[in-house]
Amino acid sequence: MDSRDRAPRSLAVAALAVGLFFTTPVIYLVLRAIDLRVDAGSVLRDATDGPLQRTMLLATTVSLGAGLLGTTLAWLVIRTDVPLRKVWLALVPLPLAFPSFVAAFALVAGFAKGGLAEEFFAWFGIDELPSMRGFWAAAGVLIVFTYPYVYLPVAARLHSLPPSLEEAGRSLGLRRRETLRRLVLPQITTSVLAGMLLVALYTISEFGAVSLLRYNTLTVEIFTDALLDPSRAIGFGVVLTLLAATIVVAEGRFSQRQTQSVRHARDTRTAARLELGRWRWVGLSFCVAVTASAIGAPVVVLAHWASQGVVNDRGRLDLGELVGPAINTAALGVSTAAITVGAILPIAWLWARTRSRIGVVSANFVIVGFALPGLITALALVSAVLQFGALRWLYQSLPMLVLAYVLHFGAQAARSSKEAVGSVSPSLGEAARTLGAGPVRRFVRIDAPMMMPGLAAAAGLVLLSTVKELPATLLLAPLDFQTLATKIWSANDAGHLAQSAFASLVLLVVSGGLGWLVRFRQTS
Amino acid sequence: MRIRSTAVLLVAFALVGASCGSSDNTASDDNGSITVYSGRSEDLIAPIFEAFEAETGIEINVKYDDSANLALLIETEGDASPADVFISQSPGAVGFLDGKELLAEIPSEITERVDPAYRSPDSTWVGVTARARTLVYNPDLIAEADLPQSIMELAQPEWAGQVGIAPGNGSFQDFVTAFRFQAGDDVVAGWLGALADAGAPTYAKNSAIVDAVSRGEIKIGLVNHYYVLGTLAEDPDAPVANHFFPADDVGSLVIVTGAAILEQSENAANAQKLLEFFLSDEAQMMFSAGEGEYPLVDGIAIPDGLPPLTGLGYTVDLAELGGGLEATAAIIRDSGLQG
Repeated sequence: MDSRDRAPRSLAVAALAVGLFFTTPVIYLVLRAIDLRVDAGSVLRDATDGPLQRTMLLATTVSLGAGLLGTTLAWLVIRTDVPLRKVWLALVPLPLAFPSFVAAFALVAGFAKGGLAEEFFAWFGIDELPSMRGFWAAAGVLIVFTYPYVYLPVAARLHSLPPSLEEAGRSLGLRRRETLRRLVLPQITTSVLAGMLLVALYTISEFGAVSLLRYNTLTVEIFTDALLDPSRAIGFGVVLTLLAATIVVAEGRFSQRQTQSVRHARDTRTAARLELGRWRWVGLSFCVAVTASAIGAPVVVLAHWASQGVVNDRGRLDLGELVGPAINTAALGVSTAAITVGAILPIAWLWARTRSRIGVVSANFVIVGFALPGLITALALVSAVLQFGALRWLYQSLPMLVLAYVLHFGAQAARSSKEAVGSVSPSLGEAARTLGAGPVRRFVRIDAPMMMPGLAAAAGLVLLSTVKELPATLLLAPLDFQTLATKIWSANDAGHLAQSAFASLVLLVVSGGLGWLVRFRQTS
Repeated sequence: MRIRSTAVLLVAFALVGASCGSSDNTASDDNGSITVYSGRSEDLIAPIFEAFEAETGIEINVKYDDSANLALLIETEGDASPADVFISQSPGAVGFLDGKELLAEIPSEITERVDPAYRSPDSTWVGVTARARTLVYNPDLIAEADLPQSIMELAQPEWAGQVGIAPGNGSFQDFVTAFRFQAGDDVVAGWLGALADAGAPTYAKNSAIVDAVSRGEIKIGLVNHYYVLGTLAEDPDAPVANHFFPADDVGSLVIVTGAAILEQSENAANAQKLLEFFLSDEAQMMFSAGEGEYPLVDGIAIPDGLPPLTGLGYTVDLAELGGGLEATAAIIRDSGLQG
């Protein structure tokens, strides 16, 4: 059964069903495009008139920047003796917990003329601050808020590499730098690429921050035109899907050629940590600088608004009304994370263990889904569910909301789950079979425990994205159902900054706490 | 680790189950309850819903989102839409549904409470409250006497690069549509192009413009009047004020928050009661006192510090407007303002 070539039939059927589910948004876009008689020529002309190039430029820049930042941080925190390591382990993944529109809104206000940053930098004699608009502002903000997509898988990979790797380097007479370049780097390449892929797709789909920072990508145009010019918006949606598919396939080809030969080690020794010596302080400053800009800056602005609200309270602050939404947010996040990983597992299994095309093709659909704006994913699901009478009971129910999250965030679980499956040597299963263990027993006793760290990593990413999701939550949640993100949006929309800031800080605490429970402890 | 994660999951499922149960109770309560899709944010309109529920005993279930997104949702849902009432901050969004023939006719006893300038000619939606387009300015940086007296003046060189604009915002798009109707596409395209060429700074939304003016980043910007009131409510010392253009200038366009009943609503009777309530003296006073919006029923006091509502209403008949809303999108885009 565990042959590397053929997939067990039940698994193939499950993977196919999940894969088909993930084609929903693509089918929706195509049907809408036909329905609206979208003129391919004019859409392509409009897209290549700027939005497509801007989208590609931003996605490339952000994924390179986040790749560099995330990998450096992972190496520093996991493989060196950088001071205050434990603190960085807890703080470094946190930027993922900010809804991008909150972070961007806070940074725009903080860095604007007369804002907090001006007062702060004036102490150091700096009077001119860079303007928070346009390409560099969008790229900078997104790099700082997406590097955890790279950091998390790379940190997990570095953590799982056995110390014997570096020992081998030493015994071969390699210098430390060469050991890093020739032995360690090749082992983490696929993890870095997997993270960068998520960053690129996220950047393509991003609306809130990019529109606030005034950089017009395909997604911003889609939102602007959705009502006024639907055929252009849908046409751009198709262009965006093609762009995402190209990136996914290219990355897949490229990363296939990389060898990641060292399997997840059950080597219980602590990995040797490189002594940085004099460079410790450089490493420390780097960690301080990153966390100060990614977490410190927005938190200071939010805390400032919140405190202003306490000072001039006009009866608008109500912390009690955040308790229900906080519980909803946490419960949705944890259940979505678990369900997503469960749904992706059959695909990940086929993808990692067999040559079945179902695995690869389904996985690609799963990953492309992440690049689509939440608005399109949500409308596609509405359209699909209402199409079939048998599914109507699902409409505006919590299970449907969870389905939307699975559809949107499945990509984040795909690669980590694949690596989790790949980390279990099939020979162990063979051995257990010769000892007479049935498939269920083999899965429970051997595969599941060994896959746990990788699956937890997958769940952690999905969790952090779910708790801050806004567009699909607003459209699909049951009536009168509120999460922290919808609370933040609602207060912000009405101009009640203090209440919005409080809700944002509560969200940060909730996701930080949940992330710690599910994911981050394992690398500590 | 495994045991603890499992425990967390179980707790989570229990919680979701619990909230599922409670939301089901309200949704399945078919006791004449109505479903409202509200483009007006919860912080602003929830007190009105509560007053209605208390008065009539009719339960209201609400979905809040941006007006444009809700209009798209209703279009996608079609006949299956659970919505009975749609509240739109933008005439564009409600006009979009009108164009798709998804709105029911509202009885004239209800619509007649409101001046014809502030409701649709075919009675498919009615204005509930209104906001005026204004020029927000920073009184520390510029005297009111020096401000322009017409929207056309903003395209002149003396204002180059100083007018904050939110080109992707629904109210701005509505303003451009009305402007096209009044002055013709060529004039509007020239006006937008002049602003873009002069480097008018753009923002994602009205509130961002008011913030920028308050910080002194720019002197003036085109917004809706109540964003200024909201900023002043949070910080009474903020250096921002509204400047109203003369009544016949499209710069003082009046944009209504409209309410409509969906064609497929199975509870039109109660939906009508809600619209009636919106236009009652009681609710109109609540709107005016709580939100800083203009009431639309005669005899209700307008918010402190605002001039009477005299500006042009948004009575654009999309059928008469060549190219419809797509042309508005194209004109804004082609001006180069967004890039």
